[in-house]
Amino acid sequence: MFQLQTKDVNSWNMVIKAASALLEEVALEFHPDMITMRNMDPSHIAMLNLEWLKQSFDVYECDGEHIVTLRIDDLANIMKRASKGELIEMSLGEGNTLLIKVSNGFQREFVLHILESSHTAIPVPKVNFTAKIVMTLKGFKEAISDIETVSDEVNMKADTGTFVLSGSSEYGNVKVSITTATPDVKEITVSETSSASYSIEYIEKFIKALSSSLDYITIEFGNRLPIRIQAPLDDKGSKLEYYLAPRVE
Amino acid sequence: MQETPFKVVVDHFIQMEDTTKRTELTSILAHLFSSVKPNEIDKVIYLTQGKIYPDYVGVELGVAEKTIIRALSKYSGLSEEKIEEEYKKLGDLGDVAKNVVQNKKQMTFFTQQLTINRVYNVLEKIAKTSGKGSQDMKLAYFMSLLNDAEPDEVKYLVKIVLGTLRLGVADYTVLDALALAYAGSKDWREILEKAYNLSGDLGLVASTLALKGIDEVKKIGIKVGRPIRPMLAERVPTAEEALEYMKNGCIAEYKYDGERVQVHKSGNTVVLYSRRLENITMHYPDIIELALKNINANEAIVEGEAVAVDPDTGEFYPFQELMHRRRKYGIEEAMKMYPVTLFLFDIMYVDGSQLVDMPLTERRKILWNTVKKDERVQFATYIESTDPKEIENFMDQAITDGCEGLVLKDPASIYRAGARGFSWIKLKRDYQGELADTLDLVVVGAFYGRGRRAGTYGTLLAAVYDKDSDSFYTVTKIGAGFTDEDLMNFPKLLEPYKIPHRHARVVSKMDADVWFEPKIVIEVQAQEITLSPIHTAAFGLIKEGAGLALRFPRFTGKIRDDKGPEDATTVTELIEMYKNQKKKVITNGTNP
Repeated sequence: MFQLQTKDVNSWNMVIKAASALLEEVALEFHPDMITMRNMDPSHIAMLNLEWLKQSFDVYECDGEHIVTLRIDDLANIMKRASKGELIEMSLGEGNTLLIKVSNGFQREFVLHILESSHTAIPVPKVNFTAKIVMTLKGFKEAISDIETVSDEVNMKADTGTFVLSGSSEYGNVKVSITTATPDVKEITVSETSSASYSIEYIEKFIKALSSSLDYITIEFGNRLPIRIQAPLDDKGSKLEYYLAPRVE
Repeated sequence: MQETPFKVVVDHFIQMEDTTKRTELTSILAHLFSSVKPNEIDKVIYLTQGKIYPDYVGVELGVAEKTIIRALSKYSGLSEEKIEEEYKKLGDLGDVAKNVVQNKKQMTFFTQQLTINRVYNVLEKIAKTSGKGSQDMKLAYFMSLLNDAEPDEVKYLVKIVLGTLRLGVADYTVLDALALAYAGSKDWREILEKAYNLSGDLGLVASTLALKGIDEVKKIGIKVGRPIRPMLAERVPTAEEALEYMKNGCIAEYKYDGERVQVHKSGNTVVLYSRRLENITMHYPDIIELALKNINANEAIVEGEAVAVDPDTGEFYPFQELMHRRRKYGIEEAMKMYPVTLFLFDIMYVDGSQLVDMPLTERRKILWNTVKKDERVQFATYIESTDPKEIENFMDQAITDGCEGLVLKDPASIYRAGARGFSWIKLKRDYQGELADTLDLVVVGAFYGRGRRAGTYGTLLAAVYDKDSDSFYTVTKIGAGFTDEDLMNFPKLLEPYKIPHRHARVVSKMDADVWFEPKIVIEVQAQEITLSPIHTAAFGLIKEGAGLALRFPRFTGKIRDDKGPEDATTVTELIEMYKNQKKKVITNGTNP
């Protein structure tokens, strides 16, 4: 069995939005110490990795491993009913169901049917990133929007103290330069000059799902390597990560 | 068991596209069947025909061309405009796809070889994805195949999802190839075909053969919910010729100008299939209700023709009006405006008994005992006769009543699913007249209406005038074209002329509910003038045993106060009009 209680409606919304941009079904895995969700989109281009630690919840009890596969739309519809600050309780219900209670003044109980799981565990990709940038979500979103004006692909290049995003097409080209002096930037760490290109559509699938109340995100990549964008769910170590395969330059 | 790579299928597709000979096509297909695992064969057959299920399941892949263009753009990094340009040049997105995938741009986390099962499973997911954002999801699924596919595989995947795979593999080619692949004797072919005709599912026949053997194929029979391929009729030009084939007597039935429908009832569920085995249940909620009410069996499969009928007069609407029912939206309104009557003519299955091998006369008895007849569910109008004259007159009446012609049936014949033979023969006309002028007809009688016209007249019996005999001869019953106002006014208008019996100057074979003194003249339009044994105008003058009548008559709204009954259209004029009708060739319809 497991049960949890939390008032963090915001994080649930982020997780659901990010998943629904990629998938129709999600498999949430409940472990004694955390909830994980590792799902790859059907085209194997992008992957979500959720690690939601026990300590992030008001109550979290789980006596083993439980895989709960749900239609993401069903979960989204229920979570839409929860407003900021309301208490969400989850537990396994009778007959292979997930019980979700949402309460403030009065209590609402939703029962969701758990789907038959075709889920196979996928490992988190092991990537030796050579560049790491910590900057505001807002700043990163702005930079991506700038590139999108001419291209559907963004090239990222990081060198000591600089992070350059660029894009080009038959219509022209655009370049956004960011340094450690930029107010939106907290950290640029580079072990070697790194460059790679990614689909803007796929980057946006993730960053548009993130809450605007989020401050900093971490971007990591390397030469012709996947990119990892990490969004913290809170200050207790829980995080939602997005992996995206590069495009050939 | 090791799965067969999708490439094996594609290699055979390439060969099939190259050949122009049917025998070669069959042997390539047979070779394909023997190259795949028995549990893959049904999938291969569906894919070869560019689908994922038999047609009756009614599931379509529903991928838009635009979605494929987007997928190719993402995959290759070429702009969508560029791909559309290439598409205009090559004319086939499959060929475009094959070219553009040479420049793959987007990398993936891992690749997996495409197998028949994987391709099929993904296509199933694509088909099942619907609703908001479904094209995006379909795109993602399709991309998952693209990422792992070789250029030729991409080409055929695109053709399959867009429904542009045209290998020319007909159902019979598949059956031939199956017999060949499984090295059966000649009579296997017939067994396979029978199983297909009764099940409508080539995949089922093939996988039964591959996994369980020919003896199990023999056991494939009718199942409620699974359409039977309909028995078809041959066509000959005359009744005389048709009768030469009818050695055991002849049942001549009206061939209604409606939609042929196979009604499957099981408990409280009713499913309807078209002649082409499409699921058309959603178009006819009224038939579902009628079937539940009138079919007196837990499980049954009956066949008939759905015809749109004017609810107030009982007259048929032309076929085009019925087609208002074949729509996606507004079905409720269409149902009210064009309610259908079901004219049943056969039964293939009832409560555990397969009836197709029984003679027609037996099946008809069972049909009559199983189905309760009422206003909306009827049995096809018929006569039993071997007299060509009688049949021709019956044909004239069928045409005048708005039917296409007749179907002549051998009373001893079995129901040969999927077969076109001479035990059913259709008689249709080659020409249809087109009437340019209106006629001025005298109202001589009326029939009571029903539905909205209950309590008033439903149809008027109208006549033309003959100067020589100074009499009025009936030519039609009119029910169409009356407004609500007309319906209120006509009884009042006719009341003063009401008489207790047929007027002495009126010649009629019909017995009207109410008779009138010939006084009121109305203007009538009709589709054409046809022969009819039941109307008396020009009787015997054009053809022995038949008079002239109007097909699809319609009141124009004009009461000719300016004309006396003797000023109405005359028999001589009617004959002239009949002869001068523009003759237009009837193109062969798809209905049997």
